Formats: sequence, structure tokens, C-alpha cells
Amino acid sequence: MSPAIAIHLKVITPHRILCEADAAEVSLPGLDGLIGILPGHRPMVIALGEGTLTYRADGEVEAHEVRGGYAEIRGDQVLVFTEI
Amino acid sequence: MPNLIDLRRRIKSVKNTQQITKAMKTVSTVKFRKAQRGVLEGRPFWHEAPGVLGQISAWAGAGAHPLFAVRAEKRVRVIVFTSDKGLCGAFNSNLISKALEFIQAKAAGAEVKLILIGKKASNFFKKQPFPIEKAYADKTDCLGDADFAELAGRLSRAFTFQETDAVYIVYNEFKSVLAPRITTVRLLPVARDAAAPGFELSAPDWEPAAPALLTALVPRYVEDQLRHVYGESQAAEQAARMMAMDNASKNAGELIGDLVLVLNKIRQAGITKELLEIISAVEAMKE
Repeated sequence: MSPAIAIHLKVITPHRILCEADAAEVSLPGLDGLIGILPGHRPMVIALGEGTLTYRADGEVEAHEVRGGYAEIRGDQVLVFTEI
Repeated sequence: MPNLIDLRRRIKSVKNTQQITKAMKTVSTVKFRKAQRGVLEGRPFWHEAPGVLGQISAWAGAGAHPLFAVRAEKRVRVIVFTSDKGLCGAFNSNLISKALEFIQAKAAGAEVKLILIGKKASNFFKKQPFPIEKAYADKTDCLGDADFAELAGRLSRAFTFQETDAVYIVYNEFKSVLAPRITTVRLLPVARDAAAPGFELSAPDWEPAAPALLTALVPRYVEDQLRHVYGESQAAEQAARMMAMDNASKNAGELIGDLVLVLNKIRQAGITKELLEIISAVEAMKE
């Protein structure tokens, strides 16, 4: 099985697209703590709490504050719906 | 031939009207810009969210959350979004006729209750035989989060206690400045659109466990969707008013042009007549 190289991350708020990137790893603030996602993750639905969403793309780490909402992991796509 | 004083008066009145329509256009342009920004910024979110929620509902199964339950539609609620004020072209009339069509179709097989937003819808459906559950007919241009939370709560409760089997929304979606698109969406139950692609059978992991997650997620979604639809309707209303007032100003301009032409002709005719009289008088005196 060839592992997927990147996760396509898309963070959307009701006001704008916060970020859209191909990330090597993503970390989401779940209700009970951080949840790390690597390529090839199982499908998952996560409710988000308040905290910092970070992802690593091209060796650089980016961070965004998020509050509430949810994330859906399907295939190599991570869709995050959040406030702010 | 109309007399000069009447014509002048008429021109003045048309000019006044034009001034008003121009002012209204300016006002709605400003309001429109604001509403449009909100709607366009929210588009990506609303482009994706219903599909994802539908997918989640399909994964979780219809029994996982009260608002997921798809039942035979025996009692239906329809929410109609219109505006309070007129002077926005066919914005309300088109929507109301489409809504009526939709409601009549639904009423054939179910008991329909209406929730009306905007004075125009309230005034129209008062005369129709369908029961109105609630009508927001005053100051609907400044409905706030509290109103939508209340409405979403009321609908969710009614749905959970099986007082209603489906909730539909009929509204003007802001498509372009030229014309809105009348759209009908189903608010409840939250279920996957049968035509939506990309369905995967393998159930996902839930974090936290499905019940807790869905409890946090679904009511919020219903509320947000109402708010989004309201935003669309507002933007479409302002766009429609902007266009209507622009047309009115243009028509007034044309009318003024025509009237001024007539006025000048009459004035000219008057002057010519007077000149002729003077000249002929002078000629007569010479003899």
C-alpha cells in the first residue's frame, strides 16, 4: 500500500476560507485534546473545541485559532468547519 | 394643448420622484454591498456544509439523531422568506407565486403550516387557507442571532416530537444583481441528498462518540442554515431594490426629457405667436 503523501486541508468559516493547503500532518483541537492526523487516516468525524489548529506544509508549521465546529476526514481530504 | 403651468408642475413632480428613487437606490446600494459581502464570504462554507452533514447523517444512520429521521411527509412546515418593504421589482411577487405553487403541491398530500418572514408574505398568506404558525412581519431586516436560535429551536422541537415531518424553506437566493434565483431547500430532516456523490460505506470513527458529537453539531447546523438563507434573501432583496430604483430613476429621466421637449415647443409657439402679432401690428401701423 502506497501511503498518500499529503493531506488536502481546507478550513472554512462562515466568513471566509481560512486556509487551504496540502499538509504533511494536521493537528486539530478536539473536545478532549489534540488529535493528530497523518496521511491515510481512517475516515473520521471530530467535534472541535477551542484551541489551535496546526499543520505542517513544506516543512513550515502554520497555526490558526479555531473555536467550535467540526472536521470531517474522508480519504485524503480534511474539511474543517469552524467559527472565527 | 396642455398649458405651461401644468407642464411645469408635472416636470417638477417627476423630478421630485426621481430624487427619491435616486436616494433609495443609493441607500440600497450601500445595504446591498454589506449584505453581499456577508453572503459571498459564507458561500464556500455553505457550498460544502450541507453535503458533509448529509454524509455524516448517512454514516450515523437515521436513528442516530432525532433530526436525521426521514418520515413520510404528513405534516410539513414551509418557511417563506420575503421582505417587509416593496419597491423592489418582482422580488416578492415572484417568490410568493412560486411558494404558493410549492405549498399547494405539498398540501395535496400533507398538512402544511407556514412560517412567514417579511410583511409581504404575511399579508399575502393571511388570505390563503393555510394555517400560519408564526409570522415575522415587522423589522425583519434586523432579525438577529436570538431570533434564529429561537426559530431553529422551535422547528427542531416540533420535528423531534413528530409534530412535523419535514421543514422546507422557499427563498430568493442571491445569484446576481440582475435577478435572484428562487430556491427551495429542505431544512429538516438533515439527510443526505440521494443524488449527492462520494458516498463511502465504511463508517468513520467518531470523536467524541457519535451521540455527543451529533448533539453538538446538528442543532447548530440548523440554526446556521437559517441564518445563511436569511442573508441570501437580504442580499437578493437589496439587489432587487437597487435595480428597481435604478430603472425608476432612468424612466423618470426619460419622462422629464419628453416633458421638457413639449414644454419648449409650447413656449416657442407662444413666442412665435407674440412676435407675429407685434410684427403684424407694426405693419398695420405703417399703412
